[in-house]
Amino acid sequence: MIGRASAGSKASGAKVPAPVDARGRTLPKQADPAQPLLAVDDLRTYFDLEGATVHAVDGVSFNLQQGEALGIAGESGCGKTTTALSLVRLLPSNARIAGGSIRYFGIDLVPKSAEALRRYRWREISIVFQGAMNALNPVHRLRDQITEPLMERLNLSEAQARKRAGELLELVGIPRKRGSAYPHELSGGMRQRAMIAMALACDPAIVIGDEPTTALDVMIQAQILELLERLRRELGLSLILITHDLSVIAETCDRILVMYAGRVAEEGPVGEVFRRPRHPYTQKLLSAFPNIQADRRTLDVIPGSPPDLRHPPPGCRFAPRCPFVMPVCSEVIPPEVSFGGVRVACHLYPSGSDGTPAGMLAPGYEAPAAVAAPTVAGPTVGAPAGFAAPTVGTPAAVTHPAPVEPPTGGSLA
Amino acid sequence: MTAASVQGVAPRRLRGAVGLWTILRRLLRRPEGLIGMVILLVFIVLAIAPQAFVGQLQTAVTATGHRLEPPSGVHLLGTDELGRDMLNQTVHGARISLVIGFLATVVTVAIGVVVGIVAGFVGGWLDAILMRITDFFLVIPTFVLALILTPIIQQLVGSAATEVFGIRMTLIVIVIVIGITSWSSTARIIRSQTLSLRERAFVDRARVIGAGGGHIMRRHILPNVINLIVANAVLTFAGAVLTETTLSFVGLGDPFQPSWGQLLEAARAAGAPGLGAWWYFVPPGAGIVLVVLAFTLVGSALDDLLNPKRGRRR
Amino acid sequence: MTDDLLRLDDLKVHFPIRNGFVDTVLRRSHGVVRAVDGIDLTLRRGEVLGLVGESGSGKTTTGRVIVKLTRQTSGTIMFDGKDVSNLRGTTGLRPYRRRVQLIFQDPYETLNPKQTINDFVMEPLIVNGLGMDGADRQRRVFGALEAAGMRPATDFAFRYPHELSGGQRQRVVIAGALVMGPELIVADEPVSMLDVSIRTELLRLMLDLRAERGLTYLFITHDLSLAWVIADRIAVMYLGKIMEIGPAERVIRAPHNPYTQALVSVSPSPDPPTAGTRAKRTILVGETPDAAHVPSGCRFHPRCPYAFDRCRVEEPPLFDVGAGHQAACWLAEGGRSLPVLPPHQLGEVAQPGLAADAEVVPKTAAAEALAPAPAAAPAAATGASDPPQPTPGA
Repeated sequence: MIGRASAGSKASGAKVPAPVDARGRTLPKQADPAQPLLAVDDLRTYFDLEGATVHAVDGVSFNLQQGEALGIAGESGCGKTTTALSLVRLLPSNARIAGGSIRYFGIDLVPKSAEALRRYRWREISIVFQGAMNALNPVHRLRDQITEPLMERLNLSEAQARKRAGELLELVGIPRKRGSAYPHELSGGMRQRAMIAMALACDPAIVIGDEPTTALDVMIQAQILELLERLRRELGLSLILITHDLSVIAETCDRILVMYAGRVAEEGPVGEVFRRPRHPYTQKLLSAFPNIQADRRTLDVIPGSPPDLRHPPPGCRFAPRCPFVMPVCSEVIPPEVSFGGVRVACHLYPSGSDGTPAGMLAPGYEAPAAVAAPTVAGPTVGAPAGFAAPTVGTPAAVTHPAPVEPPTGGSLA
Repeated sequence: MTAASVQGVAPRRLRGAVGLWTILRRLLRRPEGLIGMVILLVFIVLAIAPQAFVGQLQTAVTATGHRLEPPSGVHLLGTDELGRDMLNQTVHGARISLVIGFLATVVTVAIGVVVGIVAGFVGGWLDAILMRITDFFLVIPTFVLALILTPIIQQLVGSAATEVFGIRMTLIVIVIVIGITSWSSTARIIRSQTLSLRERAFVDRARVIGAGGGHIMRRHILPNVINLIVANAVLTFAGAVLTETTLSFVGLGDPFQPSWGQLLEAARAAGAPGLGAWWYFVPPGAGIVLVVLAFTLVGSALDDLLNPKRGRRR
Repeated sequence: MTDDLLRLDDLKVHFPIRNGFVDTVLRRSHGVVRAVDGIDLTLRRGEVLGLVGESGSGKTTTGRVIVKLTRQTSGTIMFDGKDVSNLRGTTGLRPYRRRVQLIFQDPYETLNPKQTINDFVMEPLIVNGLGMDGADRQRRVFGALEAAGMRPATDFAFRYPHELSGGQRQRVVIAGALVMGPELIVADEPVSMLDVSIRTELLRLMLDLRAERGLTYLFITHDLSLAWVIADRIAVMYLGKIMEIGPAERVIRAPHNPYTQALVSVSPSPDPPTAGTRAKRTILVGETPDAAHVPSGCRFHPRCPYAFDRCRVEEPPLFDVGAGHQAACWLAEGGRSLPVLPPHQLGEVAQPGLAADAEVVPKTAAAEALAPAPAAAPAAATGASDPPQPTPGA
């Protein structure tokens, strides 16, 4: 478990130098560089609505090491954005962190007051929001929007701030002279780069990107991801990337955390999780993603819909939609079990499991037919649909479920 | 429930779809909404059937008291210079002021909404021209225009003794004049909203299935500006009452159907302020202030409620 | 009944740039936005054509012109053999609108929040005077809702949009498009605002409907992976022109236009990449230029890694590169493949003219294999005549 680094444990009397991290950045006094960069333990964030409480984040734990890129994946309503906002405490007024801890180099941020947290926001952890390109103030020039937080937070003089702003713009690939432009004069991609520049202004240790490329064209997305990659290498940044787009995580991140209905489903190195997904939800999610590199042109369907988080079901929240559901799933919350670098919360992997799933395809489960693009059989109306239901693989050899190949592109007349 | 709404940050679509009763309930929960509605309710009840409370409107002939009596047990608000009971006058004045205000609002909103929606939806040169006309009426001082128009409309309408909603023709002239001078700000507001509605996908969809302009304006634009119309109408009502008061005060009113403005004018003419007969002008004045205040409170609360940008911090 | 359901010939949509009152009344303009700049497109009956492009490519405008929401500046539109380019007016367009419909992108915006689902689906029938009486119309509405997967229809019909989820709303939109019994449906990003797991259901629905009703789809999307999954043929647009068009397999696996090639290489896939795959990504420099300032010659030349002199001066037509596959690129003249780009370091963007020294490669073996041999079925794909395999639990 994570131990608390107490300042008092250092020898008293002698002048203690400020702690520094692996990059040589000065850290807050109480920081312990020996601790993980970020350790989130059993985080719970709830929303108070009229008459009900939404358990948006309900026991989420993960670590982030220095220089690492973690991708948090999941669909809408799974709690990934709320998790990110909880880290920087930018939640809506009816939300509250109801439990758990967020330790930054051992310092727990949860009990800190809003005032105390300002020290950390933007300077240790910063965030690039979803739709950030529309978060720029339209009546201020770009460069002024960057110098403002620099002067305010780092107490730089205007000249120093301008110099740094210029450096930041170049760092993200915006020509310096474009700093005098107004936001509406810039394209979407440029604005997103500007938001990244602002997030980097105070030289944070962690940058959180909440769907940073979702609204962008695929080519601009590639440029932005390439930029983040370069920044990570050059600056030694740690990244938390939040997105529903698994392919973005595959291309950018070292580790992936899959969330479902406020809880962690699976976590592990990207290569391992994508090649051998353990949790049934991860498997389904992966097979529901169109893959331009694959020969298969089919997609899997996940029947049903996510649960209402005001009244979450007991036990595993994916149970109502899970092809491998067992009686215990609806009653007992599956414990998180680790093996081989991967962490899974699923009864197919009970405590002590070594990664071999212990369960079977539920009897009576109807495997829904996959989407398949039938061929164009020339002039006939209504080409026969080449539908094929996917074989959800037998649990004994659970791999990425390979649906039966439908007829693809046969008659290319 | 969509996942987004479950998260507690109500999606903007949810807000647009609430019904009238919900709005009423929410309105009453706000302090300003509650106060405003209560005041309005009191005056509306009085205005609907003043005879039920104070009997017929007293004229010089049927006056029950002596000249300028201060308030007493018999005459709770005293009497005017002809001996008429002030309570009687004031309550009937409520009817006249409010009915004129109501009719004027109907005229204003009718013209304003039609111009606003048509200009906003059709666009192009029609919009350009309608907007220039609107600007003209917006810029000319209401009062000056009213003074100029009143005798003209009077000629057209004639001063027959026919009544509309219990209001004589002379005052209908005022209604028309207020309508003509006030519609332009409503038109501007409605046009703004129409412009943004026009770009929304459901209007495109209506076009794709073959709906014509009239159908779209009636079935898609209008229902989505109703909220705005209501909020605007309430505020317009307040303005109409004030304008009528002013016009009556400068002598364009009808002494046989004394609105509050008319009563104020009569009080001035009788020298009531100099004589210390406060009971003559305070009741009608208080009536105006209360009613206008009430409409403004309700109108502003409605505006808050129906305004989609609630400023939620994210 | 012709085989080609829809044909666009040299379609152009230019929007004049007008500022202010005087311009509006006098109809003056300062420059032109060339949203669609001369495209030829054919839609065969029963096919799904994926129209792919980034923002500013003109794909949405093309869709809007087909459903007559936007008027073309020049060019012809042939529907079922008849020229419909100049159809106008609510009554004049009625027969056309019955046969050509649109599915919109945003299920939250397409439904009027003040209308019930029933009213929404009924509206096309009322506006066009279809159906014998109220009961008949109601039957059709329920039929459309059920065809779109809302069963039982009575459960959903009298609700308001805010009571439904995104996926359900999109089904309602589809029902609304189906109720008049169209033949051609233009789907403009129909699933991009939905969650991944819901997309598949909607896509499957659309294909089911194609099979049941003989529909033809123009599937507009910016997501090449989505087009890969659903489309029979793919057309790639850039700045108002079609850069490449052909069977999906060929366009994706053997692109002959550098823009297509770049798009395919950067389209992410949920396969963890190796260092090798990362290096093969051709990330173009800059952004798509403004459609008011279209570059001379080939409009892609300022960003093209292969650009050479001719590209800057002359705009290439669509060249045939075999098997119903065409590409607009001077390098494709004569059916050649694209040269091989020198490998670039991770993090470098592909500079224009990078391939000036690249050797021109003759048709690769892979490209050969994809061309239809006269008799034998292509090696890469399984035969279209294989029956679907029965699976457990189906």
